[in-house]
Amino acid sequence: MIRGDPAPDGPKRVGMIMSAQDNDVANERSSGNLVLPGDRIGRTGSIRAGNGVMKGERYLIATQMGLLIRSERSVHVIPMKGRYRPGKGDFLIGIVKDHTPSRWFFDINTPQGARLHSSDTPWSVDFGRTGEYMNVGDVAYLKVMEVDDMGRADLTMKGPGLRKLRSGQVMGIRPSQVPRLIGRNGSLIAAVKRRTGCRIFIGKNGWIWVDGEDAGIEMVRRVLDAVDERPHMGGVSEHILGILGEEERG
Amino acid sequence: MAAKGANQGRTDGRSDDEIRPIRLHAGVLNNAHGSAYIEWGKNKIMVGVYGPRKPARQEGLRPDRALVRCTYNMAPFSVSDRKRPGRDRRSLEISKVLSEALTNAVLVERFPRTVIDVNVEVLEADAGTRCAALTAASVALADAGLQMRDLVSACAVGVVDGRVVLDPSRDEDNFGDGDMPIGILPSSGEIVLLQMDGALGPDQFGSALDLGVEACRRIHALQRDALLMRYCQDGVSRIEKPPFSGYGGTDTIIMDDEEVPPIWREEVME
Amino acid sequence: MSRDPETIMRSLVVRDLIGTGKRTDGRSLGQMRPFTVETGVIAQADGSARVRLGGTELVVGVKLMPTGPYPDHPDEGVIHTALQLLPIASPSFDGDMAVEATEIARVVDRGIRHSGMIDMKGLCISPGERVWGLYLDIHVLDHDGNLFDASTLGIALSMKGMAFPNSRFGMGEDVPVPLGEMPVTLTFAKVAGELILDPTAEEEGVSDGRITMSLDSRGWVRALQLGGCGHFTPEEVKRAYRLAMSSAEVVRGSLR
Repeated sequence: MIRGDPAPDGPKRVGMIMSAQDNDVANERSSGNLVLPGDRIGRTGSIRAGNGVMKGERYLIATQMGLLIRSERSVHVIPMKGRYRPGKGDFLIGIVKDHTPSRWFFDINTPQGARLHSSDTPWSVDFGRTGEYMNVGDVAYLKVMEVDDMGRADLTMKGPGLRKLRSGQVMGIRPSQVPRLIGRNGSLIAAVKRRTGCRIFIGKNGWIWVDGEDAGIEMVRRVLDAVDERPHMGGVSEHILGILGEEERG
Repeated sequence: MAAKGANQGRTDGRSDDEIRPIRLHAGVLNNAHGSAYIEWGKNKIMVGVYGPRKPARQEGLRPDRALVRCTYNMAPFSVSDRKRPGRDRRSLEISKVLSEALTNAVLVERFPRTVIDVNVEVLEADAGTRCAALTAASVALADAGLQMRDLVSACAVGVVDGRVVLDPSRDEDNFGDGDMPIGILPSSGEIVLLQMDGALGPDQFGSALDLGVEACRRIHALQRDALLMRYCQDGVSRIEKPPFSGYGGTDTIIMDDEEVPPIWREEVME
Repeated sequence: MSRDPETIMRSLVVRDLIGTGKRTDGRSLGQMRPFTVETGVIAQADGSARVRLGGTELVVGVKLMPTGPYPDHPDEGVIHTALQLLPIASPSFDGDMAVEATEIARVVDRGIRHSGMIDMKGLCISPGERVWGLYLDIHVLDHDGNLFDASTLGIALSMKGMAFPNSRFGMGEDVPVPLGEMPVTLTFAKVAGELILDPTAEEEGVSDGRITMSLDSRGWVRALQLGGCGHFTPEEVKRAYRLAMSSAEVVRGSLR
C-alpha cells in the first residue's frame, strides 16, 4: 500500500476541528473531527464500524463528509448533507405523487419513493376509489413498515398520530439535522410550537409540515433555515431560542 | 522541491515539477445538490452534482447500483474558435472516462436503480481540463454528501524536449511529445484515470507515472482544504460564490437591495 | 439552502403572500433582486460577463468571427444569440430544454438587435463578401428565475470595451467596436392578479403568465413577449410598460 503524506494542516479553523492525535496511523482522524471520504479513522478490527464508515483491509475509512463520532465500542460519521435513507419504524412526511386502484405512491425525499396500500390506512377504501381519499399533492404523516433491497419503503397510516394532513405546507431541512430541530427530549421543537402557535409535524426524512398563522409560519421558516445552516456547530438550540425571543419582543 | 532542468525553462517559467496555480471552492451553486468550482491555470470549470435520483428516462439503470453519469460540456466561448454547442466525439469520450473514474470512488451499490449526474461545465479551457474536471467533480460529489470510498485526485504529466514535466500548459500540450492525464484514489493510490497521447519511452514511462501520482497527492491536499473550508468559515454552511479571476478590463457592478424603483414603491403603498 | 424545489410541495403561500403585496423573499412587488456583474472573466472570448441576479447565475461569452453576410443584407453583420439551459442549472433541466432555451435566446436577441446598441452596418468588412459574425452565447449555471433580464444585462455589459479582433484574422490592428446605448430587459410575472418584477423560479412556477419587455435608452419598446400560458388585459400590459419604464431607469442608474 502506498502511504501518502499526512495532509497539511491548512488554515486554522474554528469549531470542533482538532488536529489528529493518533500518531500511530498516518491520516487518522480523531473524534470530533470533520472527516472526508477516504480518511482513515482507525484500524480494522479495533472498533465497530457504524454509519458512514467502511471496513478497509487494514483501516476503517470514512465514506461521507461529516463529523466523526467515536464511542467506546463503535465509530460513525454524522453526515453534513446527503439524502434520506428510509429505516423501519421511521415517522415521516410523504407527498402523494400517484395512485393506482389499491395503492398510493409517495415522494418521501428518497430517489426510490414509497408506497402505501389501501388496507394500511384507517379508512376502508373500496377498490378503485383511492383517489377520493388522497390525491396527487396531498400530504400525510406516515410510518415506514418495511424497506426492500432496492431502498423502496412500504408505509402505513395505521397508528397513533398517523394521518392525512390538510392545508398547511411542507418545508425541508437536511435529514441529518432533524435530531437538532427536535432538541433534547423534544425541548426545542416544543418551544418552537409554543412561541409560534403553529401545528408542526416532523418527518425523519427532513420534511416538516407546518400550519398556522402567516407570521408564525414565517418564524418557523426562519428557525428551519437556522437549523439547516449550522450542521456541525454547537449552540443551535440557543441560537433558535434567540430567534424566537427576538420575534417575541418585536 | 528542486527544479529539474532549470537551465531549459518551461514556456511559462515553471520548474518541471511545478503545477499551475489552483483555486478550488466547494459549495458554489444553489440548485445543485453538490458543487465545486476550479480555476487551474486559465482553466475555469464549474461542476454540479444531482442525485442519487430517478432520471427522466429510465433506460440503462442498474438493478444493483447507481449509475454515475458524467457529462463534460464545453461552453461555446471556452476555446479560441467558437465551439458549436452540444456533444462532440471528444466530449463524449471524456465524459465516459470521467464517469468510470468517479464510479470507482462512489459507493454505487448503496443506491440501486438511481442516477448520479455529474455535470461538468468548462467555461474556459487551457490544457488539462479533464484532470481539473475530475478533481473538482469528486469534491462536488463529497459536497453533495454522497457515500464514497475516497476522493479522486488528478494531474497530467507531459514530455517536452525529452523531459518529463508536470501539468503541461497549452503550448507544451500542443508542441510537446506526450501528454498523460492521471487520476488516483489518494488513500489507496489506485489509478482510476490513465490516458496517454504522444510518445513515451521505457526510460521515461516509470518516472512520468511516479511524478504524476506524487502530484495527485498534492492536489488531494487542496481538495481537502476546499471541503473543510466549506464548513469552517464561521461554522455556517451557505453557498458562497467566489468571484472569477478576471483579465484586463475586469469590472464588477453591484446593484444592492436599496435601489427599488421609486414610482412603483409609491404604488404599492397606496 | 438544501431545499429541493421539485420535491417540496408548493402550497398557495407564495400566491397568498403576493396577494397581500409581499413576497417570500421579503421584496416588494416592484423590486428587483440584487445583482452582480463581473466582466472580462473569459480570456478566450472577445467580451464576457458573469451575471448573478439573486440566485440565478449565468456566464455570457461574446466572440467576433468573420463570416459571409445574408444575401438580403449584404452590407450588414450577423448576430447569433444562443442560450444553453444546462442540466447543471436546475434539477428540472433533466431532459431536452431546447424549446425553452430558444425562446429566451430569441427574445433577448431581438432586444439587443433592435435597440440600436449595435450598428449592423458597422459590422460589415467587405459588402457582399465578408462581415463580422457576432456570436452571443449564454451559459446558464444556476436557475432561479428571470433568465431574460439577466441575459440581456450580461450581453450588454460584456460588450463594453470590446474590440474587433482584426489582428487574430490577419486584418491589421484591433479597433474598438462602436456601441450605442444598451437595452434593458424587464420581466414581470402575473401572480394572484398582481404584476411582480424579476420573478424567482418559485414565483414563475405559480404564475399565470409572464411579460418581458426590452426598452431602449429612450424608453421605447424594442422587444416584447408574453409567455407562460397566461393572459393579460390591455390595462395590465399598459401598466407593465409604465412600470418597466420606471424600473429601467433604476437599472440604468445603477449601471452608470
